[in-house]
Amino acid sequence: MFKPRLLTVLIGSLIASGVAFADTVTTTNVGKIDVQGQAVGAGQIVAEDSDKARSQITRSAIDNALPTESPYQLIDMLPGVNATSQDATGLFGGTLSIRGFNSDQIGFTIDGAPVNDSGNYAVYPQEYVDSENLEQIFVTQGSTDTDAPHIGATGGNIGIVSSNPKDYFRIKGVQTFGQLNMYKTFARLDTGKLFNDTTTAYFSVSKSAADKWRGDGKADRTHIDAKIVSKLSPGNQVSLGILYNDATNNFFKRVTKSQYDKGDYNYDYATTFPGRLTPVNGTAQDESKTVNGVSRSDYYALQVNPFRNALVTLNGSFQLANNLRLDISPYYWYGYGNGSFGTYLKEGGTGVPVTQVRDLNGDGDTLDNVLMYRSSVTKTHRPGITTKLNWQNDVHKVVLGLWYERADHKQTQPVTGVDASGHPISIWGESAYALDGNGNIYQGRNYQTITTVVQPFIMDTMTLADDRLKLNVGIRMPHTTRQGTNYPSAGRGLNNYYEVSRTYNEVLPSVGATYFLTPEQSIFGNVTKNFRAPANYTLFDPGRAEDILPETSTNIDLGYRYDSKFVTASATAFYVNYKNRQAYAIDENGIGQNYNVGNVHTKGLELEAGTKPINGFSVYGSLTYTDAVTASDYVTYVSGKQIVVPTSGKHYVNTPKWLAAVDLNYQQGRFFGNFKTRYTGLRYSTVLNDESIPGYITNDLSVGYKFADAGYFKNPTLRFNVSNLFDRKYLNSIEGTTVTALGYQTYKGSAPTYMPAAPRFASVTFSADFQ
Amino acid sequence: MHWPQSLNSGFIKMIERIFKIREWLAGLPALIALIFVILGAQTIKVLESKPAAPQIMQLSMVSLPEPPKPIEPPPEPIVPPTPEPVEPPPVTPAPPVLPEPDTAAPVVEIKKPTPPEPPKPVEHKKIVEHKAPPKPVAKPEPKPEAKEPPAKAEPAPVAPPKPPVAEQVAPKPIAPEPKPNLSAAAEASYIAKVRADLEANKRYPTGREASLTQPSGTVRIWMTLNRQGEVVDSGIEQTSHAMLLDRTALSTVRRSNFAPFPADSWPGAATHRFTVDLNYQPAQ
Repeated sequence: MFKPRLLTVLIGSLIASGVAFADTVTTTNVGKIDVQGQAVGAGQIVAEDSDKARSQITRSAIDNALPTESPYQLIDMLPGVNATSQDATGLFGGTLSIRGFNSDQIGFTIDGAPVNDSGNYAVYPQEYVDSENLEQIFVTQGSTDTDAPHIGATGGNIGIVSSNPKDYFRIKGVQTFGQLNMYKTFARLDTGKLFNDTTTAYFSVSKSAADKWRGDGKADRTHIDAKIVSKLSPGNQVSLGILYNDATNNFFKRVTKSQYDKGDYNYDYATTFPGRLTPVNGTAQDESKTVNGVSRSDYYALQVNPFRNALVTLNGSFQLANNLRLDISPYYWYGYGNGSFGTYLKEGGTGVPVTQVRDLNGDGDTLDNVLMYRSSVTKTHRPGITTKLNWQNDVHKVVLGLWYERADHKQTQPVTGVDASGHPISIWGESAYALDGNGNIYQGRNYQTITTVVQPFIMDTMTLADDRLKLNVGIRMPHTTRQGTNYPSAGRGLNNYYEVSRTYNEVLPSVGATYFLTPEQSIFGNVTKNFRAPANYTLFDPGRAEDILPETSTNIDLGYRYDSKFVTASATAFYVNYKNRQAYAIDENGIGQNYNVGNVHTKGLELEAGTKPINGFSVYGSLTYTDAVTASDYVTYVSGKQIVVPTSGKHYVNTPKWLAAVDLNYQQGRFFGNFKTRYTGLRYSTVLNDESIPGYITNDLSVGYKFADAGYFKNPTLRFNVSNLFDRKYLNSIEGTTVTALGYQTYKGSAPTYMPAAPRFASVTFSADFQ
Repeated sequence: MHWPQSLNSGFIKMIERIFKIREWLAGLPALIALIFVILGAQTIKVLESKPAAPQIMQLSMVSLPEPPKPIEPPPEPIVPPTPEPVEPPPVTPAPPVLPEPDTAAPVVEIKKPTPPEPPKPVEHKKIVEHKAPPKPVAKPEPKPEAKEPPAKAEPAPVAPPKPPVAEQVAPKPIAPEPKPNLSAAAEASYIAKVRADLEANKRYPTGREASLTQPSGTVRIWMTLNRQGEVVDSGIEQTSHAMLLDRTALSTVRRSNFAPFPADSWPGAATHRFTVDLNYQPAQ
C-alpha cells in the first residue's frame, strides 16, 4: 500500500530527529543561599571534614577570654590539649602537650609561617599575635599537615590565623584593668576600602603589663600588628602581615615537690637584696656566700627574659587559569633576646685563655667570686618561602609545592655586670661584659647554626563516589641541613673553633580518607609519618656533632563526626608510635649528651561536642583518654658501669590519662556569660613514675553586657573576667621532667620541677568601636 | 539500454551497476545529513550546560517559573475572564504571581506575548475563536477562556494570520494547560524543599587551606535532578574564583538527598535542571 520511499524515509527521520531535541531544558534558579562560617558550642568547635583529627577555636571563643591570653590558654578546652599557664594573664608563658608530645615537638605557624625556635623548636606563645586580631586557632592533634613548614613536629601542628581587615572604617579600643596592676590598652584602626575598593588594611598597637602573682617583678609587653589585603581581581589577591612584639618579663621560679610541700605557695625568687661585697684588692670576695639564708644570685631582678621579635608574612594568590592557582608565600622572622639568671663567676682560671676571667669587680685582683648576670642570648634571622601550585578538576585536587627556608641562628652567652642594688646593668646583656683571658667577651657558648630546609611536597585530594568519599594522599620530603660553626668559648668541650654539618632526609607520607555516610555523618581515618630533626645543640655537645637519628612518629587516627542542626560532635581513636625519643644520657665513656632512648606507644580517644545556640545557650564539652607508655628501658652509665633503669611499661611523662572540659555559654540580647570547667588528671614527672602530681579542676568565669550604640560609638561592651574562680591551689605545670626522682641503684635521681597555679584573678574590660 | 558495442564493456557494467542503485545513491546525502544530525544531537547537551538558558536565570526565588498565569497576566483590565474562577480551582494561586513578568517559563512561546496584550480585549473573541479549532474541548469558548485561552492567547495574537496552523502544531506543548497552575504551585513548593535541603547541608569549608586563606565568594552550581530527586548531573555554572569554594559547593549539592518531584511539577519532564547560588563568607 503505502510504499515508503527511501528518500521520504530519510527526510522524515531527519525531521523527526529535529523535533526530538526541540525538547529544550528549562532551568530553575532556586535562589541564593548564604553560607557563613559558624560558631558552635561557644566557638570551640566547627564541623570538620579533614581526614586527620582536627579541632578549631573561633573568634567567639577568643571573645570570652581575657585580652592578654596566650594561644595556649585559648586552646586549653580542646580535646587532647594539656595546656598550662604560669599566671592568669598569659604574659609569662606556659606549657603545652598533646598526646604526650611537648610544645617543642609540635609545629606552630602564624598565617602559614613557622614560629618554633629554629634550633630547639621552643615555642613562646606570649610573643605572638594580639588576641583581638586573632581569627582562629586550629589544632591538628597528631598528624602534621603535609604542606606545613615544620621539621620538628612529631606531634602534629597548631596554626594561628590572624583576622583580615574590615571592609569599613573603624577604630576599635579595648581597655582592661585587673588585679596585680594588670592593664592592657589596645587600639586598632581599620581603613575600610581603599584604592578603588580593592584594598583594606588595619594597624593596631597594644601595651600590657602585669605583676607576678608571687615574688617580685612583672611583665611588660608592647605589640604592633598590621595587615594589608589587596584583591587585585577575582581570584588574585596579595596580603601582607606584620607583627612586632617587644616584651620583658621577670621569670617565675620553678619549684620542686619538696619545696612545695613546705607550704609556702608564694615561694619565688628573693625579693630583697643583701647588698654587694666591697671589692678589696688582694683578698678574695666571695659573693656566693648566702646572707641570712638569702643568695644574692637569687634576687628576682636578675632573672629576666627580654625579647623582641618581628614576623612579616606575604601571601600572594594568583589564578593562572580556571582551576589552576599559584600561591607564593614568603616570610621573614627576626628574633633577638635572652633568658638571663643571676650567677657567680670566678675570676682567674687556669685553663685556656678563653675560659679564664679577668677582673670583674675592679679591685685589681682575680681572686673573687663575683655576682654576675648570665644571659643566654639568641638572635635569629629566618627567611623562607612556600610556593604551591594548586590544580583541580572534578575528581582531583592536586597541590604541588616547595618550602624553602634558611635560618641563621646565633647563640651566645655573655656574662655582664650587676649594680649595687642587685639590678643588671643591661638586661639585654649588651654592656659591662666579663672579659676572658684574651680580653674578648667571655662567653659560656658562642655558636652559629645555619639550618637550610628544602621540602618538596605533593598532595592529591580525590573526590569520589558522588562526593561522598574524599581520599587524601600526600608526601613530603624534607631535606634538612644544619651547618654549625663553633667559636671558642668557655663552654665545656667548646673551647676550639670547629665547623660541623649534619643532614637529615626523610620521606613522610600521609594517607587518609573521609567518607560521608550521610551529609551529617562522616567517618575518617589517616596514617601519617612525622619527624623531628635533632635540635641544633646536638651539634655542640661535648662529644661533638653526634650522629643521632631524628625522632619519628607514625600517627593513626580513626574517627567519626556528626554535624546537624543542633549538635556538632567528633570522636577520634588514635594510636601513635613514637620512635627514637631523644633524651640526655651518659655513655660508657662518661660523656653526657643526647641519645635516642627508645620508643613510646600512645593510644587513646578524643571526644568533643558542641551545641548550636538555643535561646542563647550553648554548651561545649571535650573528653580525652590517653594511654602513653614508654616502650624501652633507660640505659646509662655510672662510673663506667651500665645501669638499666626499668622504665619500660611505665606511663610516659606529663601525659594525663584523663582530660575533660565543659564550656557553658550564654549570649542573648545584651547579656553574655561564659563558664569554663577543666579537669586534668594525674601526671607523672619522672620516666620511672616515682613522682607525680595529682589531678585538678579549675574554673573560669566571664560575664558581660553590651550597651546600646551611642552616636558614633558602636558595640560598647563591658566584660568582667575571673580566672580560677574558686581560688584553688595546686601544682599545674611540669617544667622539667627527669628519669627518676628517687634514684635507681647507683644512678642518682634528680628532682623534677613545677610551677604552681595562679590564684583567683579578676579583671574588667571595656571595649568600643568608633565607626 | 542499448550501448554502442564500441564502448568498453567494463565501464558499461559499472554504469549499469550505478544505475541499479540510483535510488540509494540519491538518498545518500540525506543519510549523511541524518548521521551528522544525530551526532550533533549528542553534543547539544554540552552546549546547554554553558550558560545556556539565560532567559530564566535572574529570577530569584519568586517561584512559579511557569507563566500558567498567562490567564491573568494579560493587562488586568481585561476582566472578561470572570468565568475563570469557575474553571480550575488552582487559578487562585496564580494571581499572587502576577508581579513577575513571567516571560520565564514557556521558553518557546513567550517571546512576543507582551506587545499583543493591549489589543487583547478586541482579540479576545478572536482568540476564543482561534482556540476553538485546535481544541475540541474549546466549544464552550467563553468559559475555557478562563485558563486556556490566555495561554494560547499570547502566542495567538502575535501572528493572527498563520498562527492557526502553527498553533495547531504548537498547541501540543500548550495542551497541558489546565495543569499549569497545579504545576506552578507544586514546583514552588519543591523549590522550597530544595532550598531547605541545601540550607541543612551547607557548610563553610574547614581544613588547613580554608583556615589560612579564609575564602569568600559566590558560586553558581547547576544540577539536574530526576523525578526521584537524585542528582543526575551537576557542575559549576559560574565560578567563585576560589577553587575551595567551588569544590565545597559542588560537594554540598552532590551529597544532598533531595525529595522526589511532586506529581504535578514539570509535567512530562524526566529531569529538570536547577541552579543555585551559594554565597560563602568566613565567620565575622
